[in-house]
Amino acid sequence: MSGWHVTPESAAAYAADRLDEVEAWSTEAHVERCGACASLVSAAADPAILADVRARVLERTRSPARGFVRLTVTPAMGLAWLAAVAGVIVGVLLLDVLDATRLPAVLLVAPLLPLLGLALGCAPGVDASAELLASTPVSTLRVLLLRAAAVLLISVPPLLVVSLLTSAGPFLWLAPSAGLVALALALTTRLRVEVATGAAAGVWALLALGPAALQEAPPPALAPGAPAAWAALAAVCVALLVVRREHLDRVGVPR
Amino acid sequence: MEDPASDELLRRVAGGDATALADLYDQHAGWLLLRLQRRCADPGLAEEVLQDVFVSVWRSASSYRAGSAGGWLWTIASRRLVEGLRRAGRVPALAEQREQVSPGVDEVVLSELAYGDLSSALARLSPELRAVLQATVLDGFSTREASVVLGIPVGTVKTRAARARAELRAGLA
Amino acid sequence: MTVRVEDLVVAYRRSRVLDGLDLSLDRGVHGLLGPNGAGKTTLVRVLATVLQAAGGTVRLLGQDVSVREGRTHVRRRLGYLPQQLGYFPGFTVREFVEYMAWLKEVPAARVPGAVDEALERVDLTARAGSRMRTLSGGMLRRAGIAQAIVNDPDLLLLDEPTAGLDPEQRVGFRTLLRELGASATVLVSTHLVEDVASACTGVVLLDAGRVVFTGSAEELAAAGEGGEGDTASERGYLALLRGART
Repeated sequence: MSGWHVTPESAAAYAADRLDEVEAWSTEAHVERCGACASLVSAAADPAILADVRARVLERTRSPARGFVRLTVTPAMGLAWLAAVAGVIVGVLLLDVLDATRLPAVLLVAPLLPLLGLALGCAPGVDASAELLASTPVSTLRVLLLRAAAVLLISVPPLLVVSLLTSAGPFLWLAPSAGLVALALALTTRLRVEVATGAAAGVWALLALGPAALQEAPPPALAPGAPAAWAALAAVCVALLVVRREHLDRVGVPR
Repeated sequence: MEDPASDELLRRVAGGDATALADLYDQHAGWLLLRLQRRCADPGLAEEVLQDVFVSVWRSASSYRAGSAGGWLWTIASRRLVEGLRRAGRVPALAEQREQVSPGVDEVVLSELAYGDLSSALARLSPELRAVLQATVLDGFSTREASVVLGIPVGTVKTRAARARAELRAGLA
Repeated sequence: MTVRVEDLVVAYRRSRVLDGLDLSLDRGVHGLLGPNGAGKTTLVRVLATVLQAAGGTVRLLGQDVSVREGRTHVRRRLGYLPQQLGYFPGFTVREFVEYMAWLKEVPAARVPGAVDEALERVDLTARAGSRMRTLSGGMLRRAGIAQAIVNDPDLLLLDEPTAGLDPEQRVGFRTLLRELGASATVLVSTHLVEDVASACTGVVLLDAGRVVFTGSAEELAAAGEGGEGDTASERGYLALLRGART
């Protein structure tokens, strides 16, 4: 706008309200259109207030990084679920401490806990937000893996403590836990999540619970060489899951 | 128009670039604050309005069409100021359309602002008349908004604005 | 055409809920009317890509939703308010809408602004910090609408959005609907004929899994002249249903 520009002196005078009306008006009308003068006048304002407001404005532009965490949370994993996990673990501990001669119960029960968590976390009617979740572009595989990871994170540490207390080798149950969760997830590409977790639990009943009830010797699923086989199953199932992830959609949505 | 750098910053803000918002803030927040402080006795409110302005810039930069970035910022600020004053209870909120002051007069006055001969004419106006002229012409407030900002009834704004213009005309003639 | 559905079939157990349904929708607000059990919610869920069709083709925003890539594309541009809104009771309103924005892949930097705007549009800014569990039915509905519009969708599906809203909120909601319809395709399922008459540009009438009428709100009102019912739209609704059934 012509040759009229704000000088450092007039900017200071404007800030201190020492300009007469016409000069002040001219300054205001001019800085709307002249970037250089805008900067000049801006430099005359109270820097403490500006810094304060600046921080508050920029705070509002921060993104919520809590999305990942929220995805793992489902209503089923609330206090009730945590209490149930704690109850099972205490029960198992008592059993094993009272009767140390038998096969440690922690070995039989531990692999089922993550499965239960997965079923409760993703089954229809349990996760009320599944309907909304299914209508969003977020990958279902990601959701399932995050939830499975959350379930494992919560249930594995206390089980580790128990198995150390009862001298039941942690790999004996950690490997089947991972194998069964992976199996359930792989089956979810074809079956409903509650059916898939049920099937995985059935496999465990067949290979471990049944034989353990019928005979004294440890069942083959808990034999010293079994962890390698379970780990192999987990690997195969994860590979299958990745290949078939196209079929993972609308998990937990009622039909 | 004369400030392509700010236009570019606003484009980047529209794309979600927070550093562009910070740069825009550093260039314009100061004069906006000073201008708000001159129009509002409550320093807390001026600060709050300033914050609102940049939060809503962040939100709606995509609705900005290239032109006068500073003018656009002041338009937002003036609306927020009126809202803030209403909230503060000076005048009950009115569901109302923003009415336009006849543009012809504004342009005449503004175009002559930068030149000398208006000075003496303005100086002869009473402070009350000058305040009304500033609100309706320079700041682009509607009559209702001006009544909120100045804390006087709508009718008074209208009569004072008419008198101010008449006296200016006479002074310039 | 944003919505193009041809010969859509959805079966539940042995019965066909939607039976050879055809529907084309473009920008504007469309009211989805029909008696209970007509298949309104089922149709909305298919369009929301939540329910898979047993037969027919569904193209939304130019994409085939039976293909995953098409579905993902549509879901980014979709707003959906289910009949039963699922939420985490411990979230605040802002957290809930933020979470949904995140799920819809709104660019992280834009999320706070988008959330503010959505809350403002449904007039929930004052309750942004309240926990979801403390909200009344009408507020929950509005929070649900806020999450639906937070990604500025091109296709907006609202299943019974006015349930639980008081008359004043209904009026506000209709104003919002008109605004949204200017830039997006909005389908509003409702059993309240008066919601449709005043805010919708188009009407889709469903009965027994089929579309029995599509037209403007005026055409709906004109269809029932001299019949029974309290308002013109209601008379049209009843007359059209009766006509479809004989």
